[in-house]
Amino acid sequence: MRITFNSSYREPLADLERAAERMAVYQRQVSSGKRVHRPSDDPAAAAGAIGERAELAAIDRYAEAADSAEARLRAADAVLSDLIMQLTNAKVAAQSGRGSVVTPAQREAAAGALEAVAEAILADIRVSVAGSYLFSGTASTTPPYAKTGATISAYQGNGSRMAVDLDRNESLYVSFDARDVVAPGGNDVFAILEALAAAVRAGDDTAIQAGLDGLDEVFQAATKVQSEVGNSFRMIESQRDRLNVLGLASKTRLSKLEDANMATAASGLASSETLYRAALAAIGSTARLSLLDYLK
Amino acid sequence: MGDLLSSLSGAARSLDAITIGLQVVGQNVANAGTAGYSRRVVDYAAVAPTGRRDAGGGVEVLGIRAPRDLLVARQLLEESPLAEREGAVADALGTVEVALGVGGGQSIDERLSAFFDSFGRLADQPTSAVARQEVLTEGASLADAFRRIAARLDEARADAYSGVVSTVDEINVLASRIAELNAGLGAHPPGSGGRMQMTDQLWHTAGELAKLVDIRVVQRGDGAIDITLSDGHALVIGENSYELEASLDGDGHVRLTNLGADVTAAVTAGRLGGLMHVREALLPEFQQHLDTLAAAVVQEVNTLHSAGFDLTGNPGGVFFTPSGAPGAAASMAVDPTLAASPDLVAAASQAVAGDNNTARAIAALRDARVLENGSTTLHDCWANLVYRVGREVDSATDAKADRLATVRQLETLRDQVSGVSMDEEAANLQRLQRAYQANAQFFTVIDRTLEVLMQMVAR
Repeated sequence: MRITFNSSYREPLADLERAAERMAVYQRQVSSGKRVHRPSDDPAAAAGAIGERAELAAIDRYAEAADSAEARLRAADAVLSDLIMQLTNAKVAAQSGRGSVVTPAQREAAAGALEAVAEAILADIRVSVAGSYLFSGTASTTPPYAKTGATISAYQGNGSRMAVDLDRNESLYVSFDARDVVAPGGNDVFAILEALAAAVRAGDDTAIQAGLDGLDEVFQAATKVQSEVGNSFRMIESQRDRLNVLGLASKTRLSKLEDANMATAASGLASSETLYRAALAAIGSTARLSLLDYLK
Repeated sequence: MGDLLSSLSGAARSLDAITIGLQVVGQNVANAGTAGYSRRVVDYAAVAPTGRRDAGGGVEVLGIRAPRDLLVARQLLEESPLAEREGAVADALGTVEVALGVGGGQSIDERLSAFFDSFGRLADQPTSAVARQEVLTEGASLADAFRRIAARLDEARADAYSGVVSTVDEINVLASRIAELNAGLGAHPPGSGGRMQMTDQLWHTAGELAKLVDIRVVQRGDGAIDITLSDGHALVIGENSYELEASLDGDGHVRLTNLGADVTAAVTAGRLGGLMHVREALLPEFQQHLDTLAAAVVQEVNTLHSAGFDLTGNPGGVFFTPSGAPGAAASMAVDPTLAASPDLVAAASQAVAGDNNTARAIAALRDARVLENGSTTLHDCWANLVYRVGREVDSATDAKADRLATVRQLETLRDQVSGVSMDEEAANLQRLQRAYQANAQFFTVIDRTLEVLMQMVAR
C-alpha cells in the first residue's frame, strides 16, 4: 500500500478533529453541569426534559394554589372560631336575661350584649382576603350582609362557591355561602339575635328559648363548616406532601435527562485531552519522518 | 571508434532521460499538496541495439503519464454529494435548533407554563387587577415567543434560499470552467504535460461540482467529460455548459430549471440538495407544526374565554388573534381591545365577578389533550417539534460523519494510484541521482578512451 503525502495527513487530521470535538463536548459538560445544550445533543432527552419542566411548573403552581387556599381558609377558620365564641357569648347573655329574678337593668344589659354579638358576627362574616369576601359565595366583591342604620340586610351573596385546584383531579372550596353558617334554618343569626334581644327585654322566656334554639342551630352549622375547613387543611397538607414527592421525582428525572454525570464528564475530559495530545504528537512525529531527511 | 562515439551519444541520451526523471520528481514533490494533482510517472525503455555487435543505445523516455483510477474517481463523485448534503442540512438546521431556545428548547414551553400559571393565579383571585394584568402580560409573552420562533423559521428559509441561489451560481461557474477545460484539451496532444495538467483540473473541478449537486459524469474518447444532472439534463456537453437557474414560483417554492426544464426533482444531493431539502421539506414541516400548536392554543383559549364573563359581567371575547392555522404563530397576538382593559379578561363562567371557573378551565388546558385527536397536550406538541429538529440535526451530523469517512477512504484509495508519496519520490531521487552519477562516470570513461585513441592517431 502506498502511503502518500496527502493520505498521511487526511485520516490523522480527521481523528484530530474528532478528538477536539469530543474534548469540547466534555469541557462544556464539566463547565455547565449540563449534558444537553441543544436538542441535537440528545433529542429524546431534550423532548423528555420539556415534559418534566412542564410537570415541575404545574407542581409549583399547585403548591402556590395550596398556599393561597390555605391563607383564605385560615382567615375563614379564624372567623368561624370567633363566630362560635360569639354564639357562646350570646347564649350566655340570653341565659342571663332569662327568669323572673332578673331586673330590667340586667335584661337591658343582656339585650345590649346580644346586639354587640350581632355586630361582632356581622364584622366576622364580612371578612375579606385581598379584597375578596369569603362568605359571599362567588359574589366576592359584594359583602354577604350590609347594615343600613340599625337594619342588617338579607344575604347579598350567591349560592355558588369558589373552588381552587390543588391538583389535576383535586380541588377544594375557598369561599362560603354565609347562609350555610349563619342562616341554616332560613332565619339568619342577625334576625335570631334581634328577636332574642327583644325577648330578653320583654322577659319572654318562650321567645328566649326559641332564640336559644335558633342559636344552637347556627352553632351547629358553624361547627360543621369549621369542621369542613379543618378537613380542607388536612387535604392541603396531604396534597403538599404529595406535591413534594412528585416534584422531587420530577426533578430527579429531569436531572437524569439533562444533567451531566460529572464523574463521567471529568474522566471523559481527561481521557479526551490525553487522546488529543496523543493525536497531535502522532501527526507531528509522522510529519517529521521522511526518507528525504536521509538523502545527502 | 564508431562504437565509442555511439556509446558516448548513448550515455548523453541516458543522461537526458535521467534528467527528465529528476524533473518529474521535482514536479511531483512540488505538487504533493496540490488539490487534484496526479503524480507523474516517467516510462523508460532501453534503446534497442542496431546490430548483432551493438549492446544498445542506452535509455530513452517513452513518455510521462499521470496514473488515474477512474472507478474510484467515479465513486468519489457519487459519494461526496451525499456527505455534502448531510453537512448542509446539519448546518442550516443548526441555527434553527438554537432558535428553539436555550438548553434544548426552553422557550415556548416556559411561556406556555407561565401563561397557564397566570390563569391559575387569576383563579385564586378572580377579581384581582394584578392577576388580570399578569394574564395579559403572559399572554403577550407567549404570543411574542411564537412570533419570534416563526420569524426565525422564516429567516432560516430565506437563508436557505440565499444559499440555493449562491450554490447555483457556483455550479454554473464550475460547469463553465469544465466546458472551457474540455475545449482546451484539444490544444494539447495526448500524453503532453499540458494535457495531463488540464485533465487534473478537469477531474478536480468535477469533484468540486459534485460537492454542490449530484451529477453523472461521462468521459469521452478524447478525455473531455460530459456532465448531467441525475435525470440526464445536461450541465456540460463538450465545450458547452448549460446554466442552472433558481427562482421562486407563485407559492414561494424554489424551482430549479435547466434550459427551461424543471429539474427540481433531480437535485437530491450535494450542498444544493441539502439546502433544497431544508427549505422545501423540513422547514415548512416545522413551520406547520408550530402553526398547529399556535392555532391550538388560540382556539382552545378563545373558546373558553369567549364562553366566560368578564369582571363587569359581560360575555368574554376572544383572547388571542387571529384564529386561523396557516401563519397562526407568526401573527399571534393578544386581542388589542382586551390588552387595553384587564377588566375584560373573562375569569368567570357566569356573570358573577368572583366566579373563577373560566380561569380554572383555561389553567387546566396545560394538561388537556387537545391535539392529534385528543392524544397530545400542548407541551407534548412543542416537545415533538423540538425532538424532530434535534433528530434531524443529529441524524444529518452522524450521516455526514459516516459519509465523510467513506469519502476519505475513497480519497486514500485514489491517492494510492494518483497521490504523491514523498518516500517514493525520495527513493526515485536517490535512484536517479545514482543513475546520473554512473552514466556521467561512464560518459567520462568513454570520453577519456576516445582521448587516448585520438592521441594515438595524432602521433
